[in-house]
Amino acid sequence: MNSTNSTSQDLINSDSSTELANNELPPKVAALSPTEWLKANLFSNTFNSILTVLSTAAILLIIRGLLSFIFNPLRQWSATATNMRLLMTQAYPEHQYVRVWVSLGFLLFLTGISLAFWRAGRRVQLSQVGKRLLILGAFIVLATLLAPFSNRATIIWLIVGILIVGIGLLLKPSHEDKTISSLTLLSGAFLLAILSLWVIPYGHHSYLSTRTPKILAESGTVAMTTKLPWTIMFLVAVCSYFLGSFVREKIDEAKSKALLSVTWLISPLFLLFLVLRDPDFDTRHLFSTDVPIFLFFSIVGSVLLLWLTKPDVGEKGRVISAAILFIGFATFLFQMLMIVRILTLVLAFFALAAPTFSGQKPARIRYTKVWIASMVILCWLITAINTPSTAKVPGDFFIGGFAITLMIFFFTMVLAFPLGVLLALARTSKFPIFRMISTTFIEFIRGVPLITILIFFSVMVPLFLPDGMDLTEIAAVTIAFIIFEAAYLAENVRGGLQSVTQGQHEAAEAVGMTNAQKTVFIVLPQALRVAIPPMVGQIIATFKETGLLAIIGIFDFLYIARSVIPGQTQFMGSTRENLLFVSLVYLVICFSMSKASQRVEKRVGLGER
Amino acid sequence: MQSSAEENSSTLKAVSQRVPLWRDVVVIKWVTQLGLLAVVVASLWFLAGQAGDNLQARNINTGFDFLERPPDIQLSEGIDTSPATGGRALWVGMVNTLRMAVVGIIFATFLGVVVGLARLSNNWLIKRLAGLWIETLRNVPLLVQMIFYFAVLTALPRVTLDSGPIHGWFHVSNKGISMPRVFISDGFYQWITVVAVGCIAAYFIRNQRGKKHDLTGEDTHAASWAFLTICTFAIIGIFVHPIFSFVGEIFAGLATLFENIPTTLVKILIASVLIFFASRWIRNFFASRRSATGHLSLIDDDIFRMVFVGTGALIAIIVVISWTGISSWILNSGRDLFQMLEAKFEVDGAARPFGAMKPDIVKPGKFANYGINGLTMSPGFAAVFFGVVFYTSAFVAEIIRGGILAVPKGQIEAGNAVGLSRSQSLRHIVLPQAIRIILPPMGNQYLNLTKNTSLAIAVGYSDIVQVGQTVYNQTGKSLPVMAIWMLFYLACSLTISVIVNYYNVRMKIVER
Amino acid sequence: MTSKFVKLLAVALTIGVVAAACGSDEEEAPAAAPATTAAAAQVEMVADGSLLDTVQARGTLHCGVSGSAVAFSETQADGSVTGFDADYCRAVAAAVLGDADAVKFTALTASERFTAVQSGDVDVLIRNTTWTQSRDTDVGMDFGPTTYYDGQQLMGRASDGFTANSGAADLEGAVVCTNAGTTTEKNVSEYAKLAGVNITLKTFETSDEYWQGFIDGACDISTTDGSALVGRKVKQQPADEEWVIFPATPISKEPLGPTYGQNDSKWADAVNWTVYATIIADEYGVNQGNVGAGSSYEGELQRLLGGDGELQTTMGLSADAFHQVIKQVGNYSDIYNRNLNPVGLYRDGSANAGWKDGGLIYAPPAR
Repeated sequence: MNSTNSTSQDLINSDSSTELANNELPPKVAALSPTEWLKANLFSNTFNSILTVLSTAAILLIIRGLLSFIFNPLRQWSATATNMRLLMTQAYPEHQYVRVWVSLGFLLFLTGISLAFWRAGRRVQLSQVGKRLLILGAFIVLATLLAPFSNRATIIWLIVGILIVGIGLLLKPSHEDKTISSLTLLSGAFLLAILSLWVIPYGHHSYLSTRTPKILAESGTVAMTTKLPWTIMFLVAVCSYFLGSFVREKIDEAKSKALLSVTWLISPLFLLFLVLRDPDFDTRHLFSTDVPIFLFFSIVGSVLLLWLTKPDVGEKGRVISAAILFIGFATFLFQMLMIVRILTLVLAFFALAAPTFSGQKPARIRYTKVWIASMVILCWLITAINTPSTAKVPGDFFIGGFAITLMIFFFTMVLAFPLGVLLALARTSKFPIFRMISTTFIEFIRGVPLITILIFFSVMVPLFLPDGMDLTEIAAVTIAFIIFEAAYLAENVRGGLQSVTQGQHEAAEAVGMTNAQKTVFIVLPQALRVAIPPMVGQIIATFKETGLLAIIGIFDFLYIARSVIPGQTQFMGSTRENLLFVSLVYLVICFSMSKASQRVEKRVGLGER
Repeated sequence: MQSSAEENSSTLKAVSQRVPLWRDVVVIKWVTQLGLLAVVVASLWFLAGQAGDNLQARNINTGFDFLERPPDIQLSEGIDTSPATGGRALWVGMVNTLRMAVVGIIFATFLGVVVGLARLSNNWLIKRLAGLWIETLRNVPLLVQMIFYFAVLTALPRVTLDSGPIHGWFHVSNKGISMPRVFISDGFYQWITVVAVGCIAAYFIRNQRGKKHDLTGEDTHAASWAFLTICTFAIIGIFVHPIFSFVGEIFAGLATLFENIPTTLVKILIASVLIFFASRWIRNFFASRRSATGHLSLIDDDIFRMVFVGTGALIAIIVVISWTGISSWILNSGRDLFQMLEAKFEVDGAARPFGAMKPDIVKPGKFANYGINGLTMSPGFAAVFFGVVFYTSAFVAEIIRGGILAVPKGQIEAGNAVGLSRSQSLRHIVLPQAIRIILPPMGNQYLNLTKNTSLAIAVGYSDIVQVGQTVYNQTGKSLPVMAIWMLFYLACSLTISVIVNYYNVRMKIVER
Repeated sequence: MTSKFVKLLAVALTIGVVAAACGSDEEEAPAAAPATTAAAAQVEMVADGSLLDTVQARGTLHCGVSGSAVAFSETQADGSVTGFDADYCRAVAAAVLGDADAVKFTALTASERFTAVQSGDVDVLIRNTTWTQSRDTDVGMDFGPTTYYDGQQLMGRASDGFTANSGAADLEGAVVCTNAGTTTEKNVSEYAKLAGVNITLKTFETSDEYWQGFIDGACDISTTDGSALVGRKVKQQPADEEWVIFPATPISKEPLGPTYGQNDSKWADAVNWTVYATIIADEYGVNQGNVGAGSSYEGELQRLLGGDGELQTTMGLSADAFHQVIKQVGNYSDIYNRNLNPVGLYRDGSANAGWKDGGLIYAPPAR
């Protein structure tokens, strides 16, 4: 059933992409005059005319309703504006806020470089831009006339609308060959938004705390005065793009792309646990325990792996690997540092995988390098995680709001993916008991709603843990999200696995590949490629599902908007304003994710199968 | 040598003679699998034991006795708003969830089809509107949508004795939406018996006319005839249904029968059915593994399967035989079912099969409220309903659009070429092909919709999750309540998958 | 043969990765509640003793609050937690650790709160929790002195004919809205049942939702603790005296105070006497603004504020523990007025006035 499901998903995607293709390459048809166009598209027969009139009336009514809701003097928009920092990062300390900007800046830097390397963006005809601006301007004028504005606001908005219409009219007749990059347009839009920060004082809302009165948006503090940081962010993004396009020509592109991808994967971890959390390292403990452990594992592991990847090691190597795995499990029976247990298990994993990567000397050294790199990352992260944070917050987690939504989303995606692939492999394997376990797990998780799993994990997990072991609520619900999404991803991957033809398996066996090599190098790459469209759909669904955190009382984006801000004495009854803001943010992010994925699918030729 | 051993899938014996035990593929395979199974079972065992210890240490009682005790809660809506026992409260929640799921599925399908077709319309405005509908609704989290609809619904005007918009027929206010109600009345069960007889008659008529059509080739309108037959029976049934009151006697007899069957008989019956199916499965299995020459070769997986099926059947038989509760439960529920059906037929001759009522507004004290006559959607119900229907309709619309676009244009052109009208080619060419593409993802959407109703907790609609949470807040029995949730949703999901798979299989047969 | 063997490797890989994944998840736990190995060891060392020693070894107090209860524990725009309950958390921290800011606030939902105490996630729960018999016995909690005497009341509209003297009989046919999972739900349905009237009860997850319902008219009556009703009335009432709170005598008793795990007398004493100290200081008129060193007082105040700190030191606190409470957080009146006056709740004439003024706030003598 799933395979058919994924095929149909492909079909849907292929349709939208063909439609996109049509948008981009408009067929040469004679331009219709406005009256002809209206007649052909809106009033072709009586039924259509009635529909057109009715839906126009409906649209006008809805716009008017929405506007009179938004601009009703009873609305407390200052509730959302004043609490913007709470919504984004909850209680992250103000004097350390520069760390948030550094993290954001780094991500934007990466974005800029990546956009340059992957040659993102497309050419847009100026006349098309003009047309869009025309529509936008007309919409603003229409909305202004419908909205219950004061006279002054009406005039300002009318002028803005007419200006946009003017620019649109100016651009519309330009020649077909005149194009502009979509990136330029995007950055132009951002530039305008940032310029407006310098002109219009958004966010300069003061509030009187019940304890000590203070003004949040003092000039000069990094935390709340966002115009300077945002300007810097913009410059960083633009500069990094040009840097990227400059460097791109000079170095090995494939290698740098791989490096960039790895950086994308790892940098959130580092930003989160090193930059934002700012661990207060204990030097004595670091040099007495952590560094020796790291050195021991990287040296012993390297030697071992260098030997294990020799093509002629044979049986002995496997026995030793199995022994390490056994030791890894045995460590849980004894009192010892968690880091040692984890590293032993990771070593066993690398040792067991070694024969798959065996070969000539360069290949063996590369494998060892990967090992050392993972040791560096793992040791650093584990140490950082175990060190107390200097970010002093009143709550029990150093960050909240939109940041925690993003964090849980990131962990879910990164950890659910490998688990999902494993589940899918187990479900399609020739080992009946693996199949049984995996199928039971997947079908169970898919059969119950996420909310019940979340409630179970947030309320019941402490009861299932042995004494002395502790899992905070955030970690518990992250695990809940991971297993839930893994079950769904597994079904997507399984669809992909089933689409790999028998010939591919046979060809791989014919060249003498082992089963593991066949799976890693032949089957999975093809299967995952096919599974990309449904998996992207699943990723978007996951992002939307993060809103469920609000029901179990995690201080996420939605919870702060829905419960926390209306719980402030001065903003009682401001739920709807905040909800509208939250839905807008979700809408923009999910919409751009789905559009971007459609574009990427088309570029790599997916969804055409 | 090794490769030949692999390719031939030779018998267990042959392999074990050639290689030592610890290098034997089959041995390794099964040791690994059993090892993992052992690890999984052991960790589950460990966790369960830990939970038991912790529960005991914290004085948390996990019994199901709360199902029998008064829960001291009041529900905002449902078949029973002040349930007498915890079990009854959860049952009300389940009915509310199912009600929402069924109504939601019907309306989401309808709306989704409309929006999907609108997306393909040649009216520019309608097409764009449908696109806007789809993109907006599927990109905002359902939870946010529900909360927002709820906020909008409660902002409607207050209900008064002369509320509108069409007073006496259709009322919209912040206490919900009230409309006329058609309900089944006392004579309904007798009437439906008449219709059932009509269906049987229609089946025969259709078959007969269908045969005639196949033989002579003339257009015999088999389907229309069948439909007319059912309609005739339905109309006649309204007047003559009291003659079927004797059906009640049959049910009464069946109930007595179930009361008197000894449990041992049921045990034997179940056991023999199990043995029959298991042996049939094994026989068929052997047949499938036999080569054309009659040579039987079994690999280790086959043996595992046989052992698995055999053990499963054996365990089931042992459980059924040793645990009398199962058999007596079957007997009791059968008896209860027939007694209930018998009661449905115990009506006087004048009862009507249907009734209809206009909505009313009452004001017993200071407050105007909807009366019980109309069909009323409370704001909570409406928020969840609009939420799941709108959200799912966006996905359904995309599925419908994809399914229709997936039928190649050439098919319609071919239809035109042989002289079919537009509606004919749509009915006979496009739809049959599109529906096979549409059905499987639709099944998934129905599953999602059912699970999504659990978000009702955010707007205070008394579904199973909301009721369950209230119950465990009052009684502290979180573990049993969660177990009931999971079992309930698993049962729902399983039912929907079975129905959808049934249709998938049927569609495949039609294809040939 | 070889390829089959590799299958085994794949299996082992599976196990390895799963195990590693589990391992790293467990490792997230300290990320969320960072504790060095050393601190963890210390905590373990005193695990058999009182929670008081654990908290002092840890250096921070873990306090369970609501995080979104107007005037009792609000999360402010800059992330800080303020309110009546939050201030009592600070007071306990000032007494036990000498630093009112050494508090970690854990926001808890109504259904999580008792489990959080039982599993040791929070040391003390100050989350407007009503002291009831079943919670004290069956649920396994112990309750400290009541800091706020509340009672459930109802609110209707004057335009519907409600006055302060309205009673249960006026509720016939009403849609009554309240919070889910609290005692209010049970109280109001019992209240209606006793009077023999039919009501429709609607419950919501968050209080702002049912208030929105009441303001818009989807709810005819709104009911919750009297304090919240007054707060809403002051802040959100549309027209003068349109909203009426009734009956004059609350329909239930809701004593709210600190809550902690059972059978830890030492910890209970520390929490209880922190509350009493704020009350005694209030009786003497010693507040945050005028509090001096303990030695500048005589008698009871001298003993309490650390002039003669013997009593505090035997409790396991520092001699000037309660002096710190008054200095850093304030006395009962300070805490009350600072947080509850802005929402229209005043001590005078309420049950929360001092016992000398006819209220119920009373502390045993410090000697």
